[in-house]
Amino acid sequence: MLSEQSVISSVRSLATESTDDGVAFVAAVTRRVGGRPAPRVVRFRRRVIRTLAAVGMVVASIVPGPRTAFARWLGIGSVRIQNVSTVSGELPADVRDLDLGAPSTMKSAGVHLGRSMARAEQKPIGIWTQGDAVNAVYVVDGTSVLVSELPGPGSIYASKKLLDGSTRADFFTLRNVGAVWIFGAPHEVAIQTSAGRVEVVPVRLAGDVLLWADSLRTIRIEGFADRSRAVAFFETLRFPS
Amino acid sequence: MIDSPRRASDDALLVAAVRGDGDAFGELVSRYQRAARGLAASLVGMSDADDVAQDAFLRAHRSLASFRRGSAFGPWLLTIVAHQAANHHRTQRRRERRQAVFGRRTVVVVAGPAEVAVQNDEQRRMRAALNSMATNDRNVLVFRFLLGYSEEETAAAVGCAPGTVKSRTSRALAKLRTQPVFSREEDQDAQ
Repeated sequence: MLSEQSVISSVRSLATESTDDGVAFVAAVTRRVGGRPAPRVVRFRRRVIRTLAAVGMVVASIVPGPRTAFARWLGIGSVRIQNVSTVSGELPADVRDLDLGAPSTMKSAGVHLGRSMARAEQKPIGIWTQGDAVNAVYVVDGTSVLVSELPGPGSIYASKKLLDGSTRADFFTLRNVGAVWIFGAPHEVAIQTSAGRVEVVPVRLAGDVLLWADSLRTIRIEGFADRSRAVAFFETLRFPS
Repeated sequence: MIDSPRRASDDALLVAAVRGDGDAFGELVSRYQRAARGLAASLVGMSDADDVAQDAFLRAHRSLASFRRGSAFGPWLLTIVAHQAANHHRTQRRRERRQAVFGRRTVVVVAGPAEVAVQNDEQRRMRAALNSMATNDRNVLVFRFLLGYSEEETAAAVGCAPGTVKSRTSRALAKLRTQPVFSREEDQDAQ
């Protein structure tokens, strides 16, 4: 049996000292804080919100209609929501806990985006909203494919955060507008919003990705191991007005 | 505004920082950055340590108004760092799960002697084991053995009685001993 002392030694072995003077670090933190005053304590407001939430839960647990609406508002997936546009079918366990956002439907996702979401020939096995984005998972030839759609004009910035410097990007034209296939190593993607801000796409994966953007939306497809299959899938997407 | 932040006490800096004095908060960051970054590096590794420590300072800034006056700022900040490290670990695990489903795995080859690679891997697994523990258990181990606090100091930092620290430490060590990183060591010892 491993002794307690050995466990303690192992924990102690993790201890690491910071060696530089930290000037750059201090500057980075103060820049991020930006001289704002610390937010005031809002205990009373939190208490009111908690009380309202508790009351809402009680109501929700009693009355079927509010129960569904409230559960949906809370994003509780265990409550079955009957809706004609809800995609049927059991979600694979490995997709279910991926934190892709709040479960949604095609109709709600359209409201979220301000226009109908892109649709492939087949139905997605799940739809979620996250930040400005709508995420949909399709199963194509047994492979899970994630399609993210963001509203707004799509200036694409491939801001590469590399592990080994081997990420590459091929720029090409697809349906007469710009597209990029990013492959090789982990990266993150930022999109310029209509307000001019550059924001990192909420769902950041490390797989190869196809990005396509026109003046209305940005589409991000992830899960295909090669560009030709990703493009072939993209060609099946329709953008209802 | 504080005239000379470098000579001011932590309490005076905190009061000024709550009012929006950026220099006062900058001085607090300057005083505690070494401890915060060191702890973050211990818990998440060097490459992500500064991100975690920065987020911890921002979180501390957002919570300054609720900080109990007269308490020590350092231990309070370090509990936030430990919490951020655990959050970071959870996020990493989620990302790894996403990669497993949607993306190809990227294999990172650690350059250098084999023993360095093995040591790095064990430290990574050790950090993972520590970060996946319940907050109370993790915090006592962090303060007692990573930061070298006494039982009394740990009690003050985590807000419980010294006797509780003792029993919680013993229980946390027992839980940690059951983690796979130690099971493998035991197997190797047995061979």
